Amino acid sequence: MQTGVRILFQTMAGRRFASLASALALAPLGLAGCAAINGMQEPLTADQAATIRLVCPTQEQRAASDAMADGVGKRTYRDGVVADCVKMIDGKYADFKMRLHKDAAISNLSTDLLALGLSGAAALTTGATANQFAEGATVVTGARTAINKDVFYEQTLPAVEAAMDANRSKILASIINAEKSDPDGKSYTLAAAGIDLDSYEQAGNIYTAIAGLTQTASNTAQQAAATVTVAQEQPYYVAKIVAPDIFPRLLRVTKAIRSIPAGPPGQPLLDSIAKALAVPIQPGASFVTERADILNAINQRIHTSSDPATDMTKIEQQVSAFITLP
Amino acid sequence: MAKIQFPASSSLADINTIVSQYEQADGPLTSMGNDGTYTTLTFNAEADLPANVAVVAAQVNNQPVIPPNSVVVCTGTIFIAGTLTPAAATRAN
Repeated sequence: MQTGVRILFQTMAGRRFASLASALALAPLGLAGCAAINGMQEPLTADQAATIRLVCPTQEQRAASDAMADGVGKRTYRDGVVADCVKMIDGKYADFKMRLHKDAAISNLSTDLLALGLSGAAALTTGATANQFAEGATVVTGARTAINKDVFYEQTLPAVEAAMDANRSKILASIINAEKSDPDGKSYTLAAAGIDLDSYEQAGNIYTAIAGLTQTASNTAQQAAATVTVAQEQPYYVAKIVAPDIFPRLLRVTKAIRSIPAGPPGQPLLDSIAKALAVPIQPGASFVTERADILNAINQRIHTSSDPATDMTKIEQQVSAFITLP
Repeated sequence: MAKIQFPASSSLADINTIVSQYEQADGPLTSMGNDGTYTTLTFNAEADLPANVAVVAAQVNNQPVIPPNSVVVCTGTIFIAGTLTPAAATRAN
């Protein structure tokens, strides 16, 4: 049974809607005004069960492997079967990508709807299909906004493909590493490899790729929006030139803070300095944003101080409690 | 983002001093303008420190004066010695 999901674009009652339905439910592509994009590769089992194998690896291969004594022979057999499966899955994936481009080229998408995201359309479907659709739908907002389909296919499709490729590469790497770490075929059995191969096959799935891309885009957008909001809400302050005898000390402190390594080693230091200086940190702020907040606070304190020498000394003491000043 | 006001009566030399101090201790200059009372300047502490500090100069015939091997960082109308003046900040490459 075709388990793939097709996204069909239809013109309904003079307005365009995207509807999502199982391939069987809306399979006839002869529907006027419809076009379809199949969102995932054909599963290996779809057309090969009868002639080649039920799953990859087969029950027989698993049994044969299990019957072997641990050692080079078992490993070679396992790796050979896994390699065959990977090759077959890769073949299906290549077919899928070609079909994706072909679908894109022939789709009747001279509409103002973007192919993979129509929030309102989720209401037209039910159950798991609707959930799948809703995940993808967040890619696009404003369903009635005119969208150039060429832009979508030229820019979005490659991004989705890249995400699928990345997902597949990650899983394939883990399979290869698992094989290498078990040279006798003792713990990484064909059964275990089969589970990983299923994941590898499933990674060639447009919905998984879109969900990942959407999450990334959403996180980035939220962070950018938060930064803009904070920047807009920050008041201006009247700054004074810092005296020549104080400025080198200010530079010493700010350069030391900029030299804190990003990531796990430096984050606790940065947090401690922010706390010592009573610098409020935005929830979820990145390392760079938190560091910028600290630098801004120090500069503001010194550039507005009526006694910059004393304030500079305090800041030096507070910061040098955590990092060495040059 | 550091958002500062600088007194309208400030000389161009003082403006360049404050820009230089912020660009070294905070981050690169990103915009300049005025709020009717002060010159306003913004600096981005999230960006890397510039290799060369920006230099502010009055525009000539409403055109930035760009020294050789320099690029324009930003332009804006700022107070120079009490007078609103179109200016540009440039940075040597």
